[in-house]
Order: sequence, then C-alpha cells, then structure tokens
Amino acid sequence: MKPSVLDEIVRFRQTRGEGPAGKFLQRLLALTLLKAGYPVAEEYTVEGPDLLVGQFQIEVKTTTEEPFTIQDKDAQDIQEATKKGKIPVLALLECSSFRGWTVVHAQGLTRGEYRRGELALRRIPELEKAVNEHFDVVVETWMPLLNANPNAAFDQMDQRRRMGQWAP
Amino acid sequence: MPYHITKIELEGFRGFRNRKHLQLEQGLVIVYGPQRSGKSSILNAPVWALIGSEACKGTIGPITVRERIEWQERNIHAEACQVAIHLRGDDGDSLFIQRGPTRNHYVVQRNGAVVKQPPLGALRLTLDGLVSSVFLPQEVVRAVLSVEPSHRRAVFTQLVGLEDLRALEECFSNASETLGKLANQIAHSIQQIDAEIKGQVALQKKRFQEVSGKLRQRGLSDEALCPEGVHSLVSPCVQALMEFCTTYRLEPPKLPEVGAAEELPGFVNEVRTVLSRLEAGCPETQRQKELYGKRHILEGLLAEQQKIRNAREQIHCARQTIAGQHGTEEDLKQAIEEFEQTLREINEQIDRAGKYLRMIQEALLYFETLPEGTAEVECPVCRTARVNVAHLRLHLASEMEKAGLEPLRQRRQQIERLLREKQDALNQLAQLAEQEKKLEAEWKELVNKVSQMYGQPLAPNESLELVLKAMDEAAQAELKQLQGLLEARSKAIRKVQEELEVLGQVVQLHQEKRRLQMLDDIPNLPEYRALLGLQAHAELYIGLLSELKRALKKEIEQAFAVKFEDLKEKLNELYRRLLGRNDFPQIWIDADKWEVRTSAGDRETSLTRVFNVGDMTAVALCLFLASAMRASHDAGFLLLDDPIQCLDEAHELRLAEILAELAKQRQVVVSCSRSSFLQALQTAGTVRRQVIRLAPWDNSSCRLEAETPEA
Repeated sequence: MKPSVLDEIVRFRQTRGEGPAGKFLQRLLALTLLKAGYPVAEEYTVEGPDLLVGQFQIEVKTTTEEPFTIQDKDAQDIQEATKKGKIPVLALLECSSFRGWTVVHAQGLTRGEYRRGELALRRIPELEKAVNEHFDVVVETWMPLLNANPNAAFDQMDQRRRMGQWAP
Repeated sequence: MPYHITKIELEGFRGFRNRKHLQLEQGLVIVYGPQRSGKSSILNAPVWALIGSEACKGTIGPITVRERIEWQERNIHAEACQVAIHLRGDDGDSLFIQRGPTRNHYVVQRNGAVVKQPPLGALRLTLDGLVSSVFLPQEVVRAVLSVEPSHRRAVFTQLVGLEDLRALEECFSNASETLGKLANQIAHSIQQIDAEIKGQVALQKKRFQEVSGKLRQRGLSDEALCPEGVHSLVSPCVQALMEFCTTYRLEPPKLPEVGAAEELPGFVNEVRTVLSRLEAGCPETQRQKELYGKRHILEGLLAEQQKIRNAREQIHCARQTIAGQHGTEEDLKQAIEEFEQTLREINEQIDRAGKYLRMIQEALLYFETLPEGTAEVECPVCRTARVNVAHLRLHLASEMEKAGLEPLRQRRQQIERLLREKQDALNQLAQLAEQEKKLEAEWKELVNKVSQMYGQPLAPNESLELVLKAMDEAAQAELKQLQGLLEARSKAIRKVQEELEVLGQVVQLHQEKRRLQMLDDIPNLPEYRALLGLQAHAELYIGLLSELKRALKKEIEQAFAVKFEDLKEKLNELYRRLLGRNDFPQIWIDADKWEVRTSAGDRETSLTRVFNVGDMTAVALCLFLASAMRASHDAGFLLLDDPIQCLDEAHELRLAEILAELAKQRQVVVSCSRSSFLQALQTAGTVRRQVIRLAPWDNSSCRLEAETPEA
C-alpha cells in the first residue's frame, strides 16, 4: 500500500473509529474487486459472509491486531461456505507501507488466534495481487468524498457497486 | 521372544555411587524402601541402559526424555559410571546391555557376542513402546492430574504409544518458534521503517497542505498543476512582463514554453533572470547609478578642499605667532648675525681670561717650589698676614676666576639661548614655506579635478567650494526627477514579481507533491523488497509448519482414536477390577479436550472434573497396563515406579492382585514406600516374588538394608 494512501486510512480510522472505518474499508474492497474485474454480487448483511465474489465467499478482517482472532461466527461462515460449494476466503488488511491486503484460503480454519504470517501457504496470489494493485487507486478516488461527507459517500459507494461501477 | 532382567549392575549412577549388583528373579520384584532410598534409581537404571542419545526426544510425562536423560547425566557421580542389565530370554538366550558415563557409549552382547544393534532394537522395542508399555515413571501419573489439557494430551498420547508422533509435533513447534522469532525480527525492522515512512508522509502532507492553503487564498487550487492549469498560471506573469517591456520600450524577452508542471521551476528561474537583466539595463537606472557616483565624488572633493583650507589657516596662524615674537624674517636674520658676533667676542674674552689664569697658575706653581717661609705675605683676599703659598694660591685662583670668567660664561650662555630661539623660528618659517608649497600643488590638482567635472576651467576668482556645491545640487535635482520614473517602474517590476511569487508557490507545491510521490516509492526500493522477500520466505515456512502441525494434530487425534479403541475394552476391564465395581459405566478419553469421560444415561460427563486424585491415578495406571498387555515387543518386563501414589488400601490390594496376575506372564518390577502395599504385593496371588529392601539414605550412597553403611 502506498504510504500516502495508508496515511489516509490511518487518519480515517482515527477520526471515524475502528468499527465504522471497517465498514468503509469493506466497501472499498468490494469496489476494488469490481475495478479488478471480479463480479461482486451479494449485498452486505450483518449475518452471513461479508462479500460474495464469484466462487469466493470473502470474510473481511480489517483489525490491526496481531495475532487476529477467528470467532465462532467466522468459523461457522467458513464451514457453511464449504458446504455450499463456495471457496471460503479471508481478506486481511495490514496497515503497513509494505503490505496491504492478504487474501487467503480459509477452508479448514477453526476458531482461534492466528498470525498473518502463518497463513502464508494459504495465499491466493492472483486475487491478492488484483486487490493490492487496485486498492490504492480506489482509496485515492473515494477518500476526498469520504472525508467531506461520509454518509453520502457510504450510500454512493453501495449505489455504484450495484451499478457495477467502482468510481464515484 | 520376551526377555526378563536377571541382574542390574550399577556404579556411580544417581543415588548408587558404589558398585552394586542386584539379582532379579522372574515374577514379581518389589523394590521397597523409604523415600530417597534409591528405588527410582533402580527402576531408572534399565531405562538409562536402554535409551541414550538416539532416543532423546519426546516426553515421558510432563518432562521430555532429553530433560530426563540430562537430569540423570547430572546425577552421574563418577567417570567410571556404568549401568548394565543382564537379560534372559524364555528360550535361554542371554542379552547384556551396558552404557557408560556418556549417552553414546553402550555395548550390546547376545549370548556373549557383541551385536551391532542399539539396545532398544535388541528388544524390538521403540521409544513409544518403552514409555507406553514398559516403564511407568511417577510423573506420568501425576501429569494426568494436570489442569493443563496439553499436559494431559502428552500423557494420554504417550500411554497409547504415540510418542514418536508427538515428538515430531514438538520438532515442528520448535522449528516454528525459531522461525517465528526470525520473522518477528524482520517484522520489527519493517515496522520501524514503516513508522519512519508514516511520520515522513504525515509531515510532507502537512507541508503540502500549507502551500496548498496559500494558493487557495489566492484563488488557486491543486488542479492548477494540470497542463491547462499551468498555462493559465503562467499567463499573468508573462503578461505583466510584456507590459513592463512595452512601458519602458524594452525589447520583449524570449521566454520558454511551459506545458507541464515539471517545466515550471525552469520558467520561474528564467523570468527572474530576465527581470533582473531588464532592471539593470534600464537607462534611468544607469543614470541613477552615475549620479549617485558623482555625488559621492563631489562629497570627497569638498572634503579635500576643506582640508587644504584648514591647513592653510594653520600655517597663517603659525606665521603670525612667529612675527609677533621675533619680527620679520629679515629681523630674525639680522639678530642672528648680531648674536653670533657677540658670541665670538665673548669667546675671545674667555680665551684671554683663560690665558691669564694659566699664567697665575704657572706663577703659583713656581711659588710652590720655593722653601717654606720664603715668602711671607698678606693675603689680598682675606687680609690674613703671613700666609703660606698654598693659602695664597687657593684664594688668588678662586678670586680671579670669579672676577673674570664667570660673568663671561653666563653671558655666553644667554647669547647661545637667544641664538637658538632665533634659529628655531627661522627653521619653522622655512618649514611653513615648504608646507605651503605642497598645499599649493594639492590645490592645483583639486582645481584640475573639479574643472574636469565642471567641464570648463574655473575662473581665477571662482570659488571652488561654490562650484562643488552647485554641482551636487544639480545632481540631487536630477535624482529627484528620476525618482518618480523609477518608482513607477518598480511598481511594474513588483507586479511581475508578485506573479512570480505565485508561480514559486506552485513550484513548491509541485515539489512537495513530488516528494510525497518519492515517499510512496520507498517501499518499492530493491533493498526493502529484499527484506519483504525474506519475510515472505520466513512466513511461508511458518505457514508450512503450521499446516503440518495442524495435519499432525489431526493425525494424532485420529491415531489416538484408533489406538484407544483397541485399548478401550481392556482399560475398562482393568479399571472396573481396580475400582472393585463391575457396574461402573464405560470410560473413554475425549481427544478434543483430553478429558476422561463417561456416559450416565444419555448424558456424557467429564470425569476429569469430578474424579479425585486416586481415581485419575487409577485411569492412568490402567491405561498403561492395558497398553503393556497389548504390546508385542521382546521386553518381557514392566517397570512401575511407585504406582499407587494416592490409591487407598483397598485399591492397593486390588492393584497387587492385578500385578501378581500380570507377573505370571512377564516380570513386574514395582517400587513402593508404603508397607501396606508391600504386604498386599507379598500376599497377592501365587507367583514367584522377590523383595529388595533399601536402607534409608545416609548422605553417601544408596544401599540395601542388609548392608552396613560405609565408613
């Protein structure tokens, strides 16, 4: 992730709080996938997966904690995705100039604490590369709007995504 | 073909510092003695002989075999430490295993011949087999009681014979931990760099915003840096410059084309140079410079003129003073001549008086040569009668000097002083004349200079000072006239400069943006990429180990389920016998939480939480015995180190029965310190039995009860 983009995210997190910022980041990830050419289908729901992208069912983790925790609910979602024939995926954001998103296969992961590094073998390189390549541009495009009027940006992001567009 | 132990030889091992031979019978061997009497040393001796460095892995209870071996090594007291076990097979074969003070030094002999086989191999035994079906150390039983599930897991997996897999799992854990440390170090370095970059970016953004704010105040935005924006930024500056040139009828300069923000710094520099060149080349500026120079020269000439005038005034004053004191120069010369004449005359008189004096002195010298009393005369000075020659000489000489020479000398001195004064005055007049001559030359030079500046020769009666002042006034008037023109021009220049300043800020903004971009590129630098590569590799291996650990954990759980299924029947049979309750519901070990569980009706219950210490001891004991009964190796002996622990007397009796029954099939070596259990073992079943009694520890060496303590 570009240091200037990272700076924007860190500031946004500080001003908006971890939880709300997580929702925005989830949407930014969806738009990033859209920009990278992936079909982002599902609506965001409180229950169930965070994102449904083609055959991938993506659980988004934007926490800065290391190790991070896979909760019971996440583990359950992972199991259900496997049952449905989907590929359960975990997208982990790391707030570092040298790292961005880590996208890993989540199949078989159970409740517990994990370090990002120990999931290295599970990486999905093409998906991870696509996300990291386009994420900076998406953040740079949306951040002025997000800083100026977060609520309007929030609605607009959902609207654009439904229309299959990534930019405002 | 099972082997039983016939003899144990000990020397320098743990509590046994002196050489000791213990003959062991087949059947039930009871090692009895108080605490710290050496029971565990006897039971550990065959283990030490059997497992050495090749088996230093895995755990026996909550401690690893390596720790156990190392602990035993620390308890070896002599370099000549030796532990040997003699074994005999059911068909009469003999086996001899000996291990020295070091783990790697061992000898294995079969029927007296050395065989190249490790001790465990000679008995077709593995470490798993040893710890699950041959040797039950005290700590295993204790570990079953641990609240820590990982401890219970270690014990249960060991007791069913999964020690090798567990050891492998531990190897993965250790490797993972080591790699984790390395990865953490790398991550720490990356974090530090990252923090530095984050700080720099924040700073840079602040600067950028400051400049951006200044531009916004002027109604410009960051978008001004786009190619179209750059053109509109440059236009006012170019326009102002052209206006300036038109106003002052200067040739318009050729300025570089600006199409992109990158070309702005060059443009700004070029305009600055052009502006200063135009400003310097303007005739008004030149004239202003000339006039300032002229005024400077005039000031210098006026000062010089004043200096000459002052000097002349001083000379005039000095002449006046001399004239007042000594008259004219002619008077002075005449007076000098007169004084010189007088001086000559006085000198002649003094010469004459001197000659007279010399004559008197000669006369007196003559009187001195006369005999005493020859000339008796009255002294003409003091009127004394009949004085001698000496008296006369003295008085005459002084009186003559007084009368003649002294007034002459005084007069001469006076004339000399007057003469000096007159001569000094004359010299001073000469010097003044010289100075006057010099000043005259300087004045002429000054007049020439002024004439040159004036542009015509000065009239003889024209005042130099007035001419200079007039010239200065003229220059001042001209400068005043120029001032208006110059101010108007400065205004025009300022306008261009203001436009330049805006452009300068835009350039700064552009530079700040460039710096921000450079910071963005830092993570892509090759050295940092290499560091990330290293981290990625470490993480990859950690990931691999994690996956292996996960797979192994699953494998162990599955293997445990299979093995336990095989032992479950026997375990429950033994457990019910030990408890003395045939109706006790079936127990099993849950491999998820590593708990002992049972079912009451439809409900499953965790016994780990409700069992007391004795109950859990019984489970561990029965699991070991069940495992030992299923074993298929050649170790026809069991080593049980104080197995009763927290069992009550009734349990002791039942356990003694079980062991006695087992001792019919294989040799059972059991240690105990409780007399009730000894009695139970001595009376249980019909089996050959042997009791080895140990005396209390006497701080020197373990010994048998029959032995007397050494001095």
